[in-house]
Amino acid sequence: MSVAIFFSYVIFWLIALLYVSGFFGMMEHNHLVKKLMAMNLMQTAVILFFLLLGQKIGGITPIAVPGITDIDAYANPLPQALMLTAIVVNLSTTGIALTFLIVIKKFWNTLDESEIMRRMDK
Amino acid sequence: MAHIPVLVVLVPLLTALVLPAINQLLPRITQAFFKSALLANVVLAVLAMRHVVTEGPWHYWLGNWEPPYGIEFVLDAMSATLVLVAAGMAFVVALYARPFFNLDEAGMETRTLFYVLFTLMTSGVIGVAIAGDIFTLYVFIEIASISSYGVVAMGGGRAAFAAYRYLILGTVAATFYLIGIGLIFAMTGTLNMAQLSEMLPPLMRSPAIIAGMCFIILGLGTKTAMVPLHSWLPDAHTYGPTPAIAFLATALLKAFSYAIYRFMYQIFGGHAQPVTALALQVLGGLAAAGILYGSVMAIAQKDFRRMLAYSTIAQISYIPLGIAIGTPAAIAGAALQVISHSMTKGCLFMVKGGMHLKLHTTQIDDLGGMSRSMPISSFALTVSALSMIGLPPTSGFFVKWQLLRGASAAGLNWMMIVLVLSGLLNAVYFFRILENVFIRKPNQEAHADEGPHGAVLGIKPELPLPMLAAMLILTFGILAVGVGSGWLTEHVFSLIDLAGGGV
Repeated sequence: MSVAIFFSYVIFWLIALLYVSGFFGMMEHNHLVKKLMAMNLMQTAVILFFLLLGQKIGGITPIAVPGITDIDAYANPLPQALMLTAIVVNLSTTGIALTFLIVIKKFWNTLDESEIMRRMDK
Repeated sequence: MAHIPVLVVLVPLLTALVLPAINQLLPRITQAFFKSALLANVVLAVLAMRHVVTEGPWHYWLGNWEPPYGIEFVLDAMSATLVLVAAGMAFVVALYARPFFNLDEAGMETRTLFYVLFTLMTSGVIGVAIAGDIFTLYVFIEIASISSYGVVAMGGGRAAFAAYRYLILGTVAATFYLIGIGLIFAMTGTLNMAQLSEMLPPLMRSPAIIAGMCFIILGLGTKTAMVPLHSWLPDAHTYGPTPAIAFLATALLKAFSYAIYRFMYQIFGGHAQPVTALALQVLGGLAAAGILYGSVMAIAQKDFRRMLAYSTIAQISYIPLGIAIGTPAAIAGAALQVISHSMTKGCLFMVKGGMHLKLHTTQIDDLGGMSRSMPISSFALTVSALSMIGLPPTSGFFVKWQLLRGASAAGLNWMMIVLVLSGLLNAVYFFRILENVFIRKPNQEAHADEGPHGAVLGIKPELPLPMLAAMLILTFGILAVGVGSGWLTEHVFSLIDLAGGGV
């Protein structure tokens, strides 16, 4: 039984794996661009997680079809609408982070975090 | 009048949007437009506050859609306080910003961008205060955060690196917060705060809700720089441009502490729920650790800027501490700290900016003779230092007094010890500053130069008048709030509704 429960949630475990790999990638890597990529992994994992919440097996596009009045026949549109906003937020954070990277590269001439930290302390 | 709750957000938001166009077409009126828009926003905030005090909480439905379907804005005593603080600080900082940038040698080509991001940040903070559902709250948190990353990065190369680290941590915090929302949404199917507070009590034992609460506290805790999630703050506050930090360290951080309050009491049921009560205890412990850690680290700093940054970590923790205690007096103390710390730390950062322009140093040991070359700034520094330490009649004293009353009513003696100890530690590092400013002779190398600004009435001001005006507004504000704290507690903070979750 517990095995069955485990496998019914396997998609959530995969998303958790994606999220955690992003988290550790961010802690592990010294290179600032790699940190940004790991951060994007985390954000994507969260978007997938939300989209799954609106998912129903056999659910159709949430536009009313004449004759189908059962709520369970339609996918839940709310998480998708929310994630449109979250995607915009992710886009702007990525954009602004890339801008910072250009400034950092020009000023420090490196993108290695521990190197910059060492020079900051001087 | 009926649309004030949405106008307080829209006025700064639209100002931010049209400001670049105005700067291109009519560069002369850019500043006047920017300041008058922020002043109009202060007026709106005062009207909102008056409405809340006279007629109680204000629920506004955006586009007249009913809450579960539409977006709801809620103004109650706590959020009206934060709206007023954010609008007021934004205006005062706007007064300060232009002369500061004109004199700053680092000189920025992108000043309009600063004003744009600054107004966006203001609208984000006000949005956090009035958001009535948890996803709208997320959107406003991100508006405020993303623009704050931008303004921090305007301080040059070091600031860009500090801002980058701030961005990474802030975004991770945002994903934590989103996961928390997702878990709660999965369990209840709603995002509206009022509806959640009705649906959650029977579900409070479910692991998904508890995990969601942990994620939300972690996310908001990182953004509000609670120990041990504070590591982004000192660098960002040291290298960012002064006017930006004077807003960031004050109104912006308060917004996230306020969001924690909102979740703990108006969604998760406060002390009435065993799980939430446990979370509040942990929060109180972390806040107490933050107060001590920040104060001790502040003593160890040689640079005034870094000292202020660590002092912010300590002072900001008073708000979670008050929230954690949960008696009416403690909540009033936390609300008063929102006002008091905003003005005090804002004033200190402005003085720091003045030092930077006039004395070209912020090292504490080089501040000798400052009282002679910058008498008005030294006066502002003294009053705000007294408020930080918590001596009457400044507002800082009444914050500590309310928190002590709350802690003693709740029987939390160790918190009283922490509060008293923090006052003593604050005294150690602020009296060191005051000693340097008033008693020490000036160093040979560090000499104040004459400002490029003309004399007024035969007296040469130490800094441009708008900068001094901004500092003095805050200085007298500290004294006024201190004297008027009894009135505030009685008429405003007594209206704060803990939804049955208080002690």
